Amino acid sequence: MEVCNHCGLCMDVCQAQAIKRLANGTVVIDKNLCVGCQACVGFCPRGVMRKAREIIMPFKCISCGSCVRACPNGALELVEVEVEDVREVVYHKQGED
Amino acid sequence: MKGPEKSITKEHEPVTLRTPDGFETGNTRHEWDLAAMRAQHKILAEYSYEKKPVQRGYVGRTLYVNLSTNEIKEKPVSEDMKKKFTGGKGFDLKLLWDGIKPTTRWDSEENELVMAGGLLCGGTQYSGMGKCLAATVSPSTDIICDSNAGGYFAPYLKFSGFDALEIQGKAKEDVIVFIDGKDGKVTIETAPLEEIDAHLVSEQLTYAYADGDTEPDRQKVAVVSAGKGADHSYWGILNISFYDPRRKVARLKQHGRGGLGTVFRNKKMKAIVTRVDHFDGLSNDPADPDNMAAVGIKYNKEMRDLDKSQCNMRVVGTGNIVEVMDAYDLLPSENYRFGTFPKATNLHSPNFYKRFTQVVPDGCWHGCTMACAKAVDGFTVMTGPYKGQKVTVDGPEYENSAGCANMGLWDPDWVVEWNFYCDTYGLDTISVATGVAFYMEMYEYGILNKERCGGLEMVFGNSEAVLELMHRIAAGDQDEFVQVAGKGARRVKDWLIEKGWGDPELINDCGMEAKGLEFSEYVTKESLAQQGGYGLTNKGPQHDEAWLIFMDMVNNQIPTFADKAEALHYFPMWRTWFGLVGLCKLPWNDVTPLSNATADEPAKIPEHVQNYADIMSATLGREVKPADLIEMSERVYNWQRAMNIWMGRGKRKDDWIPYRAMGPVTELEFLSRNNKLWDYRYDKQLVEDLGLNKEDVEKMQTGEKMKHLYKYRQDQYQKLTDAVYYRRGWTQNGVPTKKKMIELGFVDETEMLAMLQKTIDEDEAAGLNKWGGNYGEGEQPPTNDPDYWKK
Repeated sequence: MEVCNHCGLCMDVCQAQAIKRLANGTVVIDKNLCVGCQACVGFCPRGVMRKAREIIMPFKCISCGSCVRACPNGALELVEVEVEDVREVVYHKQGED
Repeated sequence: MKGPEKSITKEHEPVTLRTPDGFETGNTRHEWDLAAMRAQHKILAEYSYEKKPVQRGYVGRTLYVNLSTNEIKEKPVSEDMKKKFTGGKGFDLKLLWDGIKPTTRWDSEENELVMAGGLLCGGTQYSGMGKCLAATVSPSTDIICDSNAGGYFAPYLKFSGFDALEIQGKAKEDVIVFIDGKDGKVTIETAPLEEIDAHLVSEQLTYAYADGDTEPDRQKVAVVSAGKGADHSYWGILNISFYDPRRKVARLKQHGRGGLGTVFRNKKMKAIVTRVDHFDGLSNDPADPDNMAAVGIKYNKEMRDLDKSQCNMRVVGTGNIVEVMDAYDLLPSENYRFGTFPKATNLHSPNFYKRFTQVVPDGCWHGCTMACAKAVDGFTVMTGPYKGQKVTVDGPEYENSAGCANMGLWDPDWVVEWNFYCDTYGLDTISVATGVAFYMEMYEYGILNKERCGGLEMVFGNSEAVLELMHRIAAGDQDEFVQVAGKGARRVKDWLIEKGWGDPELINDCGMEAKGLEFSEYVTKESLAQQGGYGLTNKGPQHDEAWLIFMDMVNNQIPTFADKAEALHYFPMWRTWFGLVGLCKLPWNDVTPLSNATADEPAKIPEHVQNYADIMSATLGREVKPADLIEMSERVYNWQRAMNIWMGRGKRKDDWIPYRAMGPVTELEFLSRNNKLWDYRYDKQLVEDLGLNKEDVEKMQTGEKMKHLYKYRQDQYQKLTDAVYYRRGWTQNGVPTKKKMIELGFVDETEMLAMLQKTIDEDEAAGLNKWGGNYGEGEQPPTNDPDYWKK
């Protein structure tokens, strides 16, 4: 099971510049700017940017911790990391992965 | 002097211009007093309208603006209009049919410039949903020419409340038409102080008309502009802006073909501006947004996973095609004489990869993950009025690089320079390149020379002379050559012949134009199907109707005339569909899905065709099948052909193409293509296809071989034309029959039907309804019944 690590690759594919990294490091979608194009859903390498039924704007983890509280087996934890250790940027080297 | 280009190594870091605060292009900043400029505007007319939402892709009305009378009004879109014309180019043609006369020319007061998106335009879930289709009476062809462009204008026009914009008449001084989708108002206002050149006026008006001073506000403004070159040339384009919030630049896409910018400037338009307040993924009102999204997500994953091993569109755009064309002898070099050139590696995409800024979502409308609109930022302009300034250059795309190959300009920095000035001056890169390449060949033969060219040394490879010619065109230079050169290859041909400076046959066959419009950038000498793909078109030789070269030449999938005719039915109909609904066709076949490996008819890319049927169904709320899409197109396609006939240029004689498109015109061409490297291809054809004796061919002089080839290939083209007209349900002279039009649904269009019938009767009386090919023993015309079209 993959979880969002706030790498920020989705920010790079959003033409509307609607996905931002907050001061606390989490990557979130601004619903006032999102145009519902699903580019981020298609490009997320971990498949953690998701589209729900009946709502055009995609959704992702915002590190609220609800899932940690809900898990009956304590299998999840919210961990603090340095942004620089998780940040990824798309470089598009011609012809390379 | 920069020295030779070096290839990319593994250590190469792509250009990113990324800073902690965003992208720093390094472009020259401008200080304008936009408020003072705006204060000088006089409002000539103002029209308030009730804002209406989109319903299943349509608003249900079009906007009419008359610049002579300052009238602004709404016109309803009926169900009948939707059923017959669908939208986009279909609406353009319908509005033109209603608004102009068969004698209307590009500069007639009643000529109209019509722009429309289409029912899918403005959606965001699939790639390429932002296209605008624009049409007018072209200065180059004297019939309707249509072209498409990306950018934000057509979606914003629709979200402002209109399915199409129709502009008639001419203003007395430079005006802007402002369509304010936020406040529900349309104005015609004078704009004396704003710039004309596209890269400046697009920025000025984006800032001036944005609702506030933020990047999202600016991203909600779209500007249509031309440029100074469009004032003095038939090659005028419309630039459509899309504001890039990362680069902070109003970037540009182009309606390239046909001189729409020439008409725009002739009407004294400086710009059209639209502004919207808010839109999202549901603004186009799809019936089933979940399914729209599902299809789009599937396609986006394809782009994520497959583009980098197929085309690298996201990295180098259509520039990836240069090396492919060069490898297959299709890259037009030195006026289409050659299809490959040793220096062409300078224009292969890695050279532009070194110049493009990476790490930006370069789609020309939201949601496009093919994102092929690459740009060179902070480019230092080398010549002309903007010399020394740093600018963002949109491109080069394939056609721009290939056009430079055609002119022998092998330096990538000159390609970028030339691309920049074409865009900002409002000149069509394709028409300029093909026209100038022709002038250069004429110069090589001494038919043109320095004196005849107003002091310009128009030799292949002379980048500075090409840019100087463009600067002179933009400045309105009155020199005789500059004046006629800017009117394009057909006018120059007529001028050269009138002056008696060269052999008319050589001149007519070297200049790559048909119907008065320059060819786009592919060598068709060895592909009969593509000769038809250029010659048997509605607007003129633009490859948007059909691109069959690989199917034909490389994969040999359409060997017979009937096969080629079937391809010249299906593909123009299929490609026309994109222009009815406001989609870009590149996501259809520039990347192929994995399912293509086992598909029937892989050239059609069946999975992607089904995607399109699915998003139509998801938008309209009823099932649409691939065959329905073809049917919509056939109606509009035949209507356009009928309008060509109505305006005097839609029959067999008008489907003529120059021999340079069919075979070698000069001995140099013949010998360069008939040698050991090319396996003596023409000698082989003389034996295998013409049935000549091998020993005779070995002894034949070049001139005699060329004569045999010429006669054969001209006849092949006529036979192809016969097969295509038959397949399309037209007479032998290329006229759609009344029966065909009624079958397509044009029952009530009595004026059109009567015009076609009259034309056919006249053709019959003049003996024109007969096959064009010479059918010898063992050969058959498409049908043994010469009256097939009467039934």
